[in-house]
Amino acid sequence: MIEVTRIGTATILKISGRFDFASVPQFQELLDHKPTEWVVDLTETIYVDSAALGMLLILRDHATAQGRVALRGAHGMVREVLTMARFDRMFVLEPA
Amino acid sequence: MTPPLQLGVPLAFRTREEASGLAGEIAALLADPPRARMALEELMLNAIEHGNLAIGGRAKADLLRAGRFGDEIRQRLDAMPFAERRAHVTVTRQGDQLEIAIRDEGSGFAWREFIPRDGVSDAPNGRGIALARTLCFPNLTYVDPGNVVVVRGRSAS
Repeated sequence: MIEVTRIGTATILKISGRFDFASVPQFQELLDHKPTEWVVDLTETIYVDSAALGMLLILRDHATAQGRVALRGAHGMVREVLTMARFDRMFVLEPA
Repeated sequence: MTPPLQLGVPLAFRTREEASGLAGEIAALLADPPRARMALEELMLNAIEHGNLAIGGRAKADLLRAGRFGDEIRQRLDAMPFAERRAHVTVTRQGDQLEIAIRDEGSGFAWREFIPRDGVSDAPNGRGIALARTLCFPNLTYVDPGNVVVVRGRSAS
C-alpha cells in the first residue's frame, strides 16, 4: 500500500508491506506529481523486488533537475537489496 | 487450508500472482524463507515475462518507462500463442537440499552473455538474476537453451 502526503515542497510516499510488481500501477500514477523533493518512506516496507527497484529509478529519472529523491528508513532485507543494487550511490539513504 | 506442496511433480503457473504465491509456498520449505521467496519470485517472474510472454529486456525497459508494462503483460496473457503457455516449477529433495527447477515454454535466451550486473546501473530492469544469485542461490544455473533455471538450497529443518 502506498500512502501519499505532502509536506511543503516534498511529496512523501509511505510504502507499507510488499513493494513489488503489483505496486507498479499505483506508483506510476504518482509520477504526475512534480514536487522538488520526493521522500520514499520504507520504514514499514518488508519486501522489495526488482520491479520496485525499477520504479525507484524511474522516479529518479522523473524527478526535476533540482529534484532530490530520498529513501528513508530501509532496514533488514530491504536495505540489503538496496545496497546490493548500489542504490546507496544513486539515492540519498536516510534513517527513519 | 491449501494442501502441502507436492515434491517431484511439475507445478504449473501462468500469471505473476500465481508465481508469487507459489514462490512463497516453496520458500517455506527452505532454510531462509524471506530470501528464498524473493529469489524464487524473481526467477519465476522472469519465466513468465521474458520466457512465456517473450518480452525482451530492452522492450521491458521501454514499457516500464512508458508506464505500459502491466498492460502489455495482461494483453499477452490473453493473446495467442502466449495464452496457452505455462511455466512449471519442480521441487525435488536431495538429502538435506532441495533442488528447484523452473521451466518456461519460451525459446530460451543467451544466458551465458547475461552476466550479473555488478555496479551502478540506471536501467529500470535487469537485476533479477543477480539478486537471486547474490541473495540466496550462488549455485544458480541455466540449462540450454535457457528456458530452464535450476537452484539448490538447504531445506528447512
